[in-house]
Amino acid sequence: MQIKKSPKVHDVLIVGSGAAGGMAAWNLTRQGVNVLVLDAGTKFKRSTFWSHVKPWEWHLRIDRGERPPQFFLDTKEQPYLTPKDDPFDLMRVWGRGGKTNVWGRVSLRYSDVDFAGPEKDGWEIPWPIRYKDVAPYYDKVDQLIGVCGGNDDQDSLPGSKYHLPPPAPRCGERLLQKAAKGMGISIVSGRRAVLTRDHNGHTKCHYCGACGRGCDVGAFFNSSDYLLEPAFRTNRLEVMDNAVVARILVDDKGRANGAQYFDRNTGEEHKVYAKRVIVAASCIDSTRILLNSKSSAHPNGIGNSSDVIGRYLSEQIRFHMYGFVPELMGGPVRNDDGIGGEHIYMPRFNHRDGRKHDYLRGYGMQFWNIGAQAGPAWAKHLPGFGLDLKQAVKKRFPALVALHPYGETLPRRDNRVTVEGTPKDRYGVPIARIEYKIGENERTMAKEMYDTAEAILKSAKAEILGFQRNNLDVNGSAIHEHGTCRMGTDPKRAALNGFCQSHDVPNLFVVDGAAFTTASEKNPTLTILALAWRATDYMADEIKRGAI
Amino acid sequence: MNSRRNALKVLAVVAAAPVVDAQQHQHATPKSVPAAKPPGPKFFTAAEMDLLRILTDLIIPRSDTPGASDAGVPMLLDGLMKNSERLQREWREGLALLGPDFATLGHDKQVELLTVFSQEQDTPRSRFFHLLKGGTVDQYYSTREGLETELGWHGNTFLQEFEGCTHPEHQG
Repeated sequence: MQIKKSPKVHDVLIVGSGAAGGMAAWNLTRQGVNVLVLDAGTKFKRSTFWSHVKPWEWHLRIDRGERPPQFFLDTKEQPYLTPKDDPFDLMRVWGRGGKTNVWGRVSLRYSDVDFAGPEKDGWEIPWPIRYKDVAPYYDKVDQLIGVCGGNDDQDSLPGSKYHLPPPAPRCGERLLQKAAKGMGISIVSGRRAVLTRDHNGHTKCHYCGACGRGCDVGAFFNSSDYLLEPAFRTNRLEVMDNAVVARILVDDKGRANGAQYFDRNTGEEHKVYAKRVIVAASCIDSTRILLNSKSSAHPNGIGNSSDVIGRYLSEQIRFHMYGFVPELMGGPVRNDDGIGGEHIYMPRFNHRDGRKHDYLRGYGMQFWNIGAQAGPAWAKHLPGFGLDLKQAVKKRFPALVALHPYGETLPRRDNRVTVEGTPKDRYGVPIARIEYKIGENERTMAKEMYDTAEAILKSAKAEILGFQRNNLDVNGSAIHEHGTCRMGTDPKRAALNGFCQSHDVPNLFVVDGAAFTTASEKNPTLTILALAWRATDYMADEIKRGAI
Repeated sequence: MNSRRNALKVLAVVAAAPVVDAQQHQHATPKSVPAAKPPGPKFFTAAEMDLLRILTDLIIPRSDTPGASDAGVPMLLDGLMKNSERLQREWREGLALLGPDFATLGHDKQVELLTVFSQEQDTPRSRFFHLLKGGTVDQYYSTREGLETELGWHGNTFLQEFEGCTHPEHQG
């Protein structure tokens, strides 16, 4: 096969266009750096989103042979391996903006409970940064993308004076807040990257609640509209569509100097060259690319002399608990869509007030789907059938409350992504193998998570929908993969420094979730944006002073 | 992105919301689909469809609002069979468990038999009951009859503001 070789040498090559790659592209181009982004898909057109297709119209459209936009990558197109007894659900979006097209929008700041956690309990390496290093970037990200929420500060969940006004809680959310307060647990305004008023040229939310199908007006942060479009206007950004990156290329000194990619439509192989490379293809795909980038300088994959790349994969544990609050049973049905997903959040509290527990780290809680929501999947779990069932569903429809706790998973050396001896994908590149198990620590924490969720429901005097303990979601379901190219000060134990720069290869940066030292219990996107901004500020300075 | 243009676009959409809504409602009426023959079932036989109308109505009967077969649940179940040999097998074998005369039994006898199915523990009959119930309930509450007429859901629309909970007794 003929290899197409592009003679141009770009200032910076970025692999991926999601939150991480988009932020890197936006921040570098505005500082005068020319950037090429390789994106594995194409732009998702807002005009084609099914945001306002009602469930029954959905059936008719499907019958007519129509299909909603296919955001998620079909595993058949790009497979990955897992051991038979340890499934891992990997959700990938290949296309402009990546997962931010359909993300959950939960935008929680890490605090020093998170950043200093490993140092305190001694499990694995410490983060090389603290809240004070990231706080200015959180401030800037909040102002740039628009995050609604309160300015209530807790040790485990910092507030922000730049939050947009929070949406009013739904009745079920108010009742849970009240019930938890009675137990000494604080449930605060959620922090969500949804615009509750017009912001930086983006229109505000119209409360249709269908964010998971893509927003037809761009009222929540997505990397394509909020970062790449402004970057295009600098005339310093070029995006190559359908470019599935296989490997990072190196020069004879082992420095990154480009990428090998395959055209997603034609399978044609290409190489592009750049003075510096940023990998931002999301945790697992970034890791696969790094590990497949073997050369005489980097026999174990680029930047991997420490042998930590691929290791310490950390996702989160999660389950769901439902109930029906008596105050709302049989009452009027309200439009509970709001900004789609919850308006409230329960910050981690297990480290406070001398609470004792025999596990490390902690958990928080989300509450999406409270109130009258289309597609009441709980209805079939009510007992019986016939008129009694029909009436029971109707009575409970406005009264649903839903609890979704998330717990941190400890980083473990053997929870890992590898490419050794795996089958090859359609381009002839080894696919990823994901070996991932939770441990005793997570199982012990899950017990307390169940206890807490059940206690909140009991305190709300809710009728609890039957649940089984230890019925955790399949690993990967939280779609919060971290840790496989972690940052740390010790080059023997970490692949990156605190600025997401490779210890081995100074002109190589990895700025997505792979760079995280720990997962925490929180949703990572806001922190990915803040760390990618900080990394590329540092990178731009290094470029200016000629260091890389 | 031009903020003013977008602001105007949203205003226009909000102002036009009732019209948009009416159009969507027209879409929802099968007769408005141009030149489409009423499509028949693609997997289930005529006899199986008759059985499904009875069974789904036993799960969600007509009351002062439509029941499952009024809402077209049997056809929606037929649509689900596409591309899943496992589902096809489970449903066909499950329907066969009812015996050849189920459709001609009186309503009370049908309820009685289905109750027996529902009370068994982890038998083929109990597994079919849960398949039938889950399928019927999920499909029914995704139809306009189930979600809008029966439950009163009126979401997925354009609102200028979201007022949230206004009950004074639920605050703080």
